[in-house]
Amino acid sequence: MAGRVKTFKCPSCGNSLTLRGMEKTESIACEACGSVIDLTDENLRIIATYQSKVKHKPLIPLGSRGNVRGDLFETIGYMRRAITVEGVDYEWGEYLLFNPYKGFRWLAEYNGHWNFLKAASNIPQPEAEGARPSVKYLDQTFLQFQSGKVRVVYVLGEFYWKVQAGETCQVTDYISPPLILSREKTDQEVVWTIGEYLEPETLWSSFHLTTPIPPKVGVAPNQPSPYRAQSKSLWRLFGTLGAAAVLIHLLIFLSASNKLVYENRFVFHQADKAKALVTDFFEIPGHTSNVMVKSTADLNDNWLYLHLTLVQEEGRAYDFGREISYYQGVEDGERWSEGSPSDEAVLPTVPAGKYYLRIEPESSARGVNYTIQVYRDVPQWFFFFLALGMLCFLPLLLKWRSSRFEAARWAESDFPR
Amino acid sequence: MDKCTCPSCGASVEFQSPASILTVCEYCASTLVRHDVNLENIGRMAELQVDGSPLQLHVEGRYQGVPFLVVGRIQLRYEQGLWNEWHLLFDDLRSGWLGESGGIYEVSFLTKLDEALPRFEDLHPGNALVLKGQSFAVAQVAKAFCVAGEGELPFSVGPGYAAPVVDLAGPGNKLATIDYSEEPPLVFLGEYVEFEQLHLTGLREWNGW
Repeated sequence: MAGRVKTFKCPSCGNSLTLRGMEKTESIACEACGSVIDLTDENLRIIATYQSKVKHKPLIPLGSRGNVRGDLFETIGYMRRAITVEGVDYEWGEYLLFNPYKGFRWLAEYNGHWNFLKAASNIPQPEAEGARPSVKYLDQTFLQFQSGKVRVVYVLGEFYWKVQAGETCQVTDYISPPLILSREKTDQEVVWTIGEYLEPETLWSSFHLTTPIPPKVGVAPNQPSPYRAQSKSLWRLFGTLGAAAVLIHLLIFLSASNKLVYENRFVFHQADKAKALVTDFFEIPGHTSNVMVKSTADLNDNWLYLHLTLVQEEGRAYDFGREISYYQGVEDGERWSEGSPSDEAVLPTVPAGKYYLRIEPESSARGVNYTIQVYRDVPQWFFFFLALGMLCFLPLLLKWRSSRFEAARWAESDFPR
Repeated sequence: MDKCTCPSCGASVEFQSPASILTVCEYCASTLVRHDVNLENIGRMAELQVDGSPLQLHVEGRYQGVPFLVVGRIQLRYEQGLWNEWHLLFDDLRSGWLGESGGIYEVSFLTKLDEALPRFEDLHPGNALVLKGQSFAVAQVAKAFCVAGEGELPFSVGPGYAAPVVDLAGPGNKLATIDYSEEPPLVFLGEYVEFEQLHLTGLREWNGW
């Protein structure tokens, strides 16, 4: 091959061909007629003339140069390979990249998903077998994803071996997103390649492509989960905000005055039914905050309904009704009870001032003793749990979406989850 | 460093490495073997095949912090294609080898082993072998042969010189090559390296690259 020409004519169609892979190229598929030519043969033997009815145009034209992961590469070859799974053909494109100092790399594209691959520098070691086989490569575990017989269906441009449509190999893919390890076995050899998932936008900009980027369809085996990185930062945010919520509520609890401002004991008689009673004025001090009205009744298998109105000196009124009911007994030797002899009602924003309570009791009991206590500025758990619940929502949503993403990924595998 | 003149064309010939016993005259391609002070011309060296290697004689680089100079090369033909072994002369006068083909680079050193080695015929891909306390697995058994050489080399080679070699993969990036062309066989221990790690200067250049 000494002194091999850089440009020559296709022996089949006469199209002018330029060698891009320098002296490494062993075969070239003419871009015009598709004939595959053996370059190691002095007479430029034609390996194959007819390969496909359909002509495929590579998304990245042959001969374009672009920077991939820090190194400049030129696309010199393009092939399409296919696999048949349960009677369905799946086909994808592979680009052979060349740099005279760095050698060969591959770009593989399927359904809008891209991988940048190179030969593995050492042989991955089997790790686990059985239901979920895995291999270890450079201290990283790769899970087996799928295996199948892959065939070349279309070739274009240059290759460092005598490529032919129809040649087959057994391919097994292992994943550790965003990485993928592929084992390709032919009768002659076993070759391992290691690949990394690439965003097509980076390729389009580095190869200066103006064509539309094919949209991604589905989830690729080694596509990094977009939720994984997000979920980490989100849980961190959740932790921070959760801690802040705890701190804020702790401060509120510590600063809550929880002051008893009124307390009195009353007796209800059936005779007073439908009669309202009015308490003396009492002072509700401090800044505008909540007021808790606690009613406790001596009830036994009965109920007490209190129609309460907290009335301010100037006329502002808070009207609310509370029912206290308490039933208890023994059944089958077990003690049971229902309801509670006391009740708490919180009025959220009550300004300071002079107030009185109007009480309208009702009950089926003949007589009930009850106590009413009014507390100013009580600590409340409700808002704390509300805040926590709202904070939880996003991480949980993310977790759900993340598990759906993983399910979609593994659905395509030989080992679905 | 030894300076002599080529007995064939009279050009000055220099041995940079004390380990070298053979050099190919840069001007007339005579293969010259060193015998004390005399140079014996054992014939014209065959032409190297064009292989697109970015390396060439006089390239400088660094490996594990020690600078080296490329002083020679053996071009070998394997079934899969051409492979170069570049003879390195390190600043500390060690001799080393830079194996290279198609963007793959590996650095190795001749290593003396105490243990006996299996015969070439008995080794097959997948076989395990312990060398210097490290476990290796046979990756490839090949009957390579020498295409040609250039520069200075620590042994006498010529075109067609058969090199039955066994390539082994070790832990991590480690590798070993056993060369059965001599008795006892020569063992080279080394590792795969990335292009950048070698800090090579004086490489071949191509327009646009």
